[in-house]
Amino acid sequence: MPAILIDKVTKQYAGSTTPAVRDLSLTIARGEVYGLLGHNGAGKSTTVMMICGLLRADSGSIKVFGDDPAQHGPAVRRRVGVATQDIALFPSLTGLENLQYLCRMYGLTPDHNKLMPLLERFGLAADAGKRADSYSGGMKRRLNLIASVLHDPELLILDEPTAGVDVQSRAMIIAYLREMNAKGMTIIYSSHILEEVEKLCQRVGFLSEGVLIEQGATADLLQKYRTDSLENVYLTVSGRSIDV
Amino acid sequence: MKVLATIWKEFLTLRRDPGGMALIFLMPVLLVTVMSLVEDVPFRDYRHFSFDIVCVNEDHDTLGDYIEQTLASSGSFHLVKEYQGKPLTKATGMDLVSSGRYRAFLYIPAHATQRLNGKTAIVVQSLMSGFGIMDRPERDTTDAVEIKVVFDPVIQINVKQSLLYAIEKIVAGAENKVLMAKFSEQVKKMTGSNDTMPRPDLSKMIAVTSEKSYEGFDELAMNSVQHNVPAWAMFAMFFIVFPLAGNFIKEREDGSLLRMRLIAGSRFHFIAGKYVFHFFVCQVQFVLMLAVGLFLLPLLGLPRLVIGNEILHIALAATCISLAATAYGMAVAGAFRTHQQALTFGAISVVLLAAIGGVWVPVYVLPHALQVASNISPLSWGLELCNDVFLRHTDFRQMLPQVSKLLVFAAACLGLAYFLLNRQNTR
Ligand SMILES: Nc1ncnc2c1ncn2[C@@H]1O[C@H](COP(=O)(O)OP(=O)(O)OP(=O)(O)O)[C@@H](O)[C@H]1O
Ligand SMILES: [Mg+2]
Repeated sequence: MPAILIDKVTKQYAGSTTPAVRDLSLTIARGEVYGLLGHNGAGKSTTVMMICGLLRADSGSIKVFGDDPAQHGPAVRRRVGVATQDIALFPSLTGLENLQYLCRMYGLTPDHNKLMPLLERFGLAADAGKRADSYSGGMKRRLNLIASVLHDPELLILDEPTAGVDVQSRAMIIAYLREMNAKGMTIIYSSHILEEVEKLCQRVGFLSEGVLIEQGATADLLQKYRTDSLENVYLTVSGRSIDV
Repeated sequence: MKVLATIWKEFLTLRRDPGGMALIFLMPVLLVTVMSLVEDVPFRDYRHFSFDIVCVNEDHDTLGDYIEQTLASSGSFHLVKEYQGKPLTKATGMDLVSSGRYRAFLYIPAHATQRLNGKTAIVVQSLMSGFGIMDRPERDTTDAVEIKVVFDPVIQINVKQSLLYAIEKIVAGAENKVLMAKFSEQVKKMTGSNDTMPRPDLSKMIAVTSEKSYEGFDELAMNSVQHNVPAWAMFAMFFIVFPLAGNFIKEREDGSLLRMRLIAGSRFHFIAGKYVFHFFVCQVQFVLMLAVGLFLLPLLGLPRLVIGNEILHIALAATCISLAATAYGMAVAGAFRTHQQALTFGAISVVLLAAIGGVWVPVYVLPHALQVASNISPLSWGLELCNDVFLRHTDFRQMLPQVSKLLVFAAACLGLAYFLLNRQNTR
């Protein structure tokens, strides 16, 4: 059974004239790192929200570890971690308090010996006692990522986890994700930074205006489009190539 | 556990928000104090207060003197007979009131006694003619003896009415006296008797007395403190809608609510934790405001709040009111998407419910339609419950109607809130 099985899914927001996601079919195997790419408004975040059951598809079917997230939302969300594109934290709590509180809400006992190494790993240990609203954009994003792995999810979905994050921290994040993947975690990675995707993802899919226009193993795609960078693949498939 | 964690989180959040703390705890204290001080004036007992009346008596005879004496000796009024050393005339007296220097002007015209005597004679004669002992008199075609009271337009309606009432009462008494005197004079004339007729003492005929409808309190009058402290306590407690809905929507906007949606099975506990925390905030507000009435207001020269001596009853009342107020805040938080909508609706609805609920002025002085409307205001139920417990010494059974109304309201609001907050789950 694959981690995710999306079959002919369409989603149109109320009040909108065109669907945000159209006839999307996608399979992601367990243990895979899948890159979800596309221009602004292509439908990446919409897809992510449907996978974790916070948005309902109009038609088609979604299975996450065999469960329909629209029907068994809690069961799915117990196995899935989501680092949302919009920061989802409590601004007036400190970094550490945020994690402690979220642990409790997951039904876990906050364990200092688990939380501090995580904060350390993402370069936040020194600021653990500061309020989250005093964090810089990149710091918030890192804390947001930690918040999504507290319950040791089997599937981790990252919606632009490196936006506004400096080079060192980005390297920390990538290293962490590699390590988690090596331990068997399935990862969906959405980003505009294609070098990162190229380094990290075994397979990628290109969304354009809600439609999956190309997908495949990263190496295969580079070969198919005879190029050495995913960026060129992206520009070609999206019809926005600058060197036709 | 998750509920406790949420309560702790809410506590930390509030503690780190000095503005929010001030809004929740300082504003109600200020509100109760200022409102009690301001509204103390109309509630005040006028017995120890003497009201100046400009008085011009051109009658200089029995009636005029009687009115003057009775007013002066009542102690509630002080008659101003001259201004800057000069005796007043009708014109200068009027001036003093129309210029706003004094609030009321009493004018007794010349020959008032004489005219009253003439009129009385006609009345007595027509009474006698009914028995066939005198001729029927000619009809009285003259105008009534007019005693004029002129008021400054800024005078308070209830002061005006009590002054008018006092003068009318004095005049009625004077009429009675003159009528009796005339009557006995006529009878004497007809019987040729020299004895004075015994004067009946009318004051022993009917006595109106007032009594308290409850036992145990001495000298308890509804005063500014007794009305304003519970009334504005209701207002402040229902105003929890402001910080509560604000807090909810802020969390929705800054994404922390999204985080809760991503955590399986956290939603109910999250909402419950928020509810319980704000319930306690309401309780603290209530205690604070009682403390103001008990300790602070007496220091400012106001009467001390009477709260009865049934701590359990007070606690039950406070609990029901807080449950209802907090639930209302939750429902408003769920019903609106933006800060502005929720806060505007929340504030205006609480002000309206307060107005019809008798927070500004007691329900019994409202027009009939509003009195009926006040039945739907949870603030009015809460206020009634406070009066029950503080003043009427009611037992649990008598508290039941208001208690159950508040609890049903709380349950309905909570149900609505849970439905609305869940609806936002899947757009
Ligand atoms: N809540 C919403 N209501 C209505 N339309 C929406 C809503 N959210 C997104 N959309 C629309 O759906 C389309 C897809 O949006 P989505 O957020 O999924 O794009 P995205 O690929 O994540 O873009 P980005 O790279 O900018 O994050 C866009 O056209 C967007 O305008
Ligand atoms: Mg997005």
